[in-house]
Amino acid sequence: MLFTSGEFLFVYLPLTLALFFLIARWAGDAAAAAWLVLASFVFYAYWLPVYTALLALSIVFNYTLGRWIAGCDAQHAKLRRLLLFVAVAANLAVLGYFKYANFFLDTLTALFGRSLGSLNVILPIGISFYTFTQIAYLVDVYAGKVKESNPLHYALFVTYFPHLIAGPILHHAEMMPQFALPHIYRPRLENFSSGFAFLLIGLAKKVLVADSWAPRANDVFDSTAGATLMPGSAWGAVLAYTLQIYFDFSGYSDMAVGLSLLIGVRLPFNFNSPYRATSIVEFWRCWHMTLSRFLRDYLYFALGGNRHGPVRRYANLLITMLLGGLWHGASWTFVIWGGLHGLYLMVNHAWRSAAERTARLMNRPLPGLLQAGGRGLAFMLTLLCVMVAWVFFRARGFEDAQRILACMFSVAGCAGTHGPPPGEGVVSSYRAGWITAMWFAASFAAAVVGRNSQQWVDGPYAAAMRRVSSSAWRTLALGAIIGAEVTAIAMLALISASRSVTEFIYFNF
Amino acid sequence: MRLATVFAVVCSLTAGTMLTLLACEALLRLLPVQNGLFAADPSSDWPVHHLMAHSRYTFSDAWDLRNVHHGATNGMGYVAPFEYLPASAGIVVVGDSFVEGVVNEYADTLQGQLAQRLTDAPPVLNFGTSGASLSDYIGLGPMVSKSFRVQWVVILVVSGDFTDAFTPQPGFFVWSPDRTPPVRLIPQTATDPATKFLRTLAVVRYAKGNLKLSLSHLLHTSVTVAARPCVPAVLQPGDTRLIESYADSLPAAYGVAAAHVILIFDADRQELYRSNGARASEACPTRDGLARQLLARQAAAHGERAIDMAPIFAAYFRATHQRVDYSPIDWHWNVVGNRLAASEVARVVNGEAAEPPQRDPSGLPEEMN
Repeated sequence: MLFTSGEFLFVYLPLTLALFFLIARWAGDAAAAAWLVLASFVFYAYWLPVYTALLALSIVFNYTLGRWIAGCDAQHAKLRRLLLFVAVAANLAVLGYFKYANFFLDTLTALFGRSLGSLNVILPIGISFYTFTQIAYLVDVYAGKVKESNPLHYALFVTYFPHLIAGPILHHAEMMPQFALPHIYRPRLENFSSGFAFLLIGLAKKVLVADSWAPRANDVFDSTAGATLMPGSAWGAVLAYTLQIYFDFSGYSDMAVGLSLLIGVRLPFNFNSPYRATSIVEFWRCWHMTLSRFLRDYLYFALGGNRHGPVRRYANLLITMLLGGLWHGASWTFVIWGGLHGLYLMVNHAWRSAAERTARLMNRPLPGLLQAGGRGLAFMLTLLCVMVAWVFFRARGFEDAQRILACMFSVAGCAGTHGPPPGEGVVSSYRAGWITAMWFAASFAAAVVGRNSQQWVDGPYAAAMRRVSSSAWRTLALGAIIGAEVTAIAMLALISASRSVTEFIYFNF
Repeated sequence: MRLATVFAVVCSLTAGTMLTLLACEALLRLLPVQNGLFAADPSSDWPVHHLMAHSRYTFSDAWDLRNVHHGATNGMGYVAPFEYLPASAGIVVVGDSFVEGVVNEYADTLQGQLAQRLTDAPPVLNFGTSGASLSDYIGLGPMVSKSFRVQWVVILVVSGDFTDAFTPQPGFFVWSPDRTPPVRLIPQTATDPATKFLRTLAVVRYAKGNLKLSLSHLLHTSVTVAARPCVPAVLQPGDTRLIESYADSLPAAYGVAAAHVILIFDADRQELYRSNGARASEACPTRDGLARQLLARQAAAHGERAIDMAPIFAAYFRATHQRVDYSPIDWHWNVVGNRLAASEVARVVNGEAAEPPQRDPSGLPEEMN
């Protein structure tokens, strides 16, 4: 079920919330939590019911193994390690089968020139997300960091519908304790107001911006190898995709945060204006932050991080990013995307070390103008690097990516292509050029300049809500605000429904 | 929670909702939201669905109000900048929204461009109605031929035209169950006052006209499973006889000779663009597509003219890499699509194509060379 769909917004969400609070009031918090688990399973089953069993099995298996690991005392260290190994291996095996089996078969076929056949496997939606969250849980149980052991809260932590399908990748330590708090089981107008605000912003990002840029990107990325491609259209498509993926995924994440806030549970933020970054290091601190955190804590640090000198550090960075790329999808283009970011990070760290050394030698700061110019240049270079990597991320294959990149950077134009006949003036899309340019400027400004969603909602909006909450008109004012937000959400849902189905990009991962 | 609190919450929620809707209404009234494209109340002399007569309209598409066009309907409730004179001679163009013509300026429509290309010809009368299908194209014939002296009839057949005619809709013809007569009209009732009031609201017009709001759209399945492999469809029992009888009855329905019936068949343009101009026919046969192919063959066998736009659009796309429609947002033909079709029809009507149109070996339509 898509967060943007009418069936979710007008049927599933009101029913789930209403029953959650009613059950909590009349049957207790545990029953309400159980209802939320059940509702989350329904949410998941709506896509393909058969994979609900896989999700349920995964939860039972990981929770049981987690309890066994936790139950082993210091005298059984080997057994604990073995249990952890078995549990992680089993998770990776399931993920490998469903997500990577065909990829490996295809790769072997390409290597040996003989077809090894393929498996007719449908990727269970959200498997990458719920596998990673549970591996993190197991590792932390092994490390003795897990305090909460309520099976209901564990099941809710994994299945919790706001994050189940496309994240954010949650950490048990920030989620399970929240499910134990009694206040989340009581409806609060303040939570509704903030939750709907996030939901509204996320929905607007997805429906008004991401889905508007998608056709322009698809036109080029989904065209056949022989299709006409001009440098302008190649750049246009890559820019469009750069905006689409940001507004799509950050919109989804905002919606997830908002949906969870309706219940009073805080989810971690996933984005913090990444296109504002002036370096790749900064970009990764602001892009898909929960994945970056997971990769850092459970992969990069596990590999040794930066504790074994610069060479190992760079190697660890590259391995982490290559695997991060592969996590996104079973395709070499994702590996290249990850590899490119690994290389960017290596160069960035090397540059930073060199710059620090130079600054020490100069012993005085650079003039302000030079610093500002440098920041501008760094911003553009970072964005360009990110865009180049997006080409591999979006392209259907390596050759398509090569074709588009060659066209983008070709001085002489794209080989074998020709423009429209003079004076024709009819193009594939009938939105006027100046409107497209204005829309691009607005979208880009929204991504780069000004406050982002959490800065808005947790900043001036929260301050205004605090004033409203302390006033005599609290109930009336909050009710009116919520009514306005819900109406705006309904309007956006209608706009979304007026188009063909547009899934969130990260549903594929 | 006390009852008073619940009451306060409900009242304030309603107030917030109403205020937001009012703000939307005020904003949308300033913008070119669809307007004026309202169904006329049924009348005994013209009982089929048509627009309100002498109505100025604004057309715009999608949520962001693209492709804005303004125009007016004539006294019969069809989009045309002139009146249809009773008992006068005319070339009749029939079709669904492709022909209705609100998506383009009148001069850029099929009928508008056809009129420009004809020499010494009577006016081109547009009877296109959004939502019409094959059953309407024949059902309309006796009504039109009773009111006008039809010289030629041009019918634009697009995807869904055969199967859509099985779905009854008030004011439209539907395939008759016993096929004798082949079609029957579903009676239309007058629009109730509440609906007439609602359609004055810009919010409602935006939702219904621009966003094409419907419950099925709103509650559609939100996650698509991987594309299913092609299972080629076949015609169902009775389809062949229905199409044969249709092709046979068309000239009589409009009171013209078979040679003066021109059927234009649209291409599968999704496939055309997907294949970069290599193919413009259905990759996976459907019942509707098979019926339209059969109709083209039957029409030709009965001496009618069948124009297949697939090779023409494909040649144009290969030569220019420009689309003949507003896709991917809207699949209606744009000025180019209409121009290519009008040129083909004009060749037939002007007597320049006694035989099926011969094209340049390059594959380009004549007018592009």
